[in-house]
Amino acid sequence: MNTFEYLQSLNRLVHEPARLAILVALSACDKADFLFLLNITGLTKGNLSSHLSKLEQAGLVEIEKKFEGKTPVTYAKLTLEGKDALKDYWTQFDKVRAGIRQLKPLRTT
Amino acid sequence: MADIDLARVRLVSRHFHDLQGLRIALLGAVFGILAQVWLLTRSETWTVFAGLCVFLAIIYPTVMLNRYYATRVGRVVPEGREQLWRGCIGSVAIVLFRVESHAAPAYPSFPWLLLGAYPLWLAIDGWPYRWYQLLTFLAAVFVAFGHVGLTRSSPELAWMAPRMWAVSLALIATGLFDHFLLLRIIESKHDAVSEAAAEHADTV
Repeated sequence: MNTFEYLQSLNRLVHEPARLAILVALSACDKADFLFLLNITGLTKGNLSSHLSKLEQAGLVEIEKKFEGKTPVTYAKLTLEGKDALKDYWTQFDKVRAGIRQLKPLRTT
Repeated sequence: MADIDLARVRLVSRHFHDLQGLRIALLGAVFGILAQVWLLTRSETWTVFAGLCVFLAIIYPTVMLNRYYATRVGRVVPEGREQLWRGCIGSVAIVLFRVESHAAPAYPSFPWLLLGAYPLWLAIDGWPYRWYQLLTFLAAVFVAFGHVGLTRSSPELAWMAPRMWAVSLALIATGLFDHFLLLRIIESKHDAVSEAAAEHADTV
């Protein structure tokens, strides 16, 4: 595959910056709650909720709703599929970066 | 959408509990109090008694700090592997402290070096954001090397108090730095989002 084919094959669901940030945050811990993800990504509640729904539908993230004392808490956790998807994404991304480094700019006369 | 620095996202998510620095600062203050008690009384019994009193006194502030971080920043459950590592380092250090207290210390204190390795790792893993963790590492090394040539019966055992003060001050400083780093990262996200929203409003 050449660089452009690698670029095309990047998982679009993961490549979107907000979703990538959510996945990176979840990959560095066991699980995180909605408030933390809201703070760390800087997204609005509606946007975060929509991105989490998409990730959940794709099976990359698991949503768990529970009560801690009297407080309702929504946790998000990366599934095994999500971990694999993120790992594959970084592998593809590294190949794209390596390919781009080898590209030489065209000389215009 | 606001720019997202993935390195910072990973840092906060991975070290969320370490970055709750007010708890570390509290721990530093406890170290300082115990060092002061030791310096004044030179008695192990009084130091242990003071330790118990301080432990009871910090239960409520610790609960309040946990609640503050949970409502202000959110909740993160760390990976089991990370917790296991921390538990292992702590347990090994406690065992080594017990072993070392019965031996004539001809070498730098190994448990202090082991404990110092943890902030060193935090500084490396969080570089350049958490360079100040080196202060705690240096304080631990300072204690470890101050140990050489002294026995438990040495009158110079008072070396411990000023060195414990160094650890205490380093913990308080790094705790406050960590707390402000956490708040700065989170507040910068909100500022960036507000800017992005304002830009979007201008273009509509």
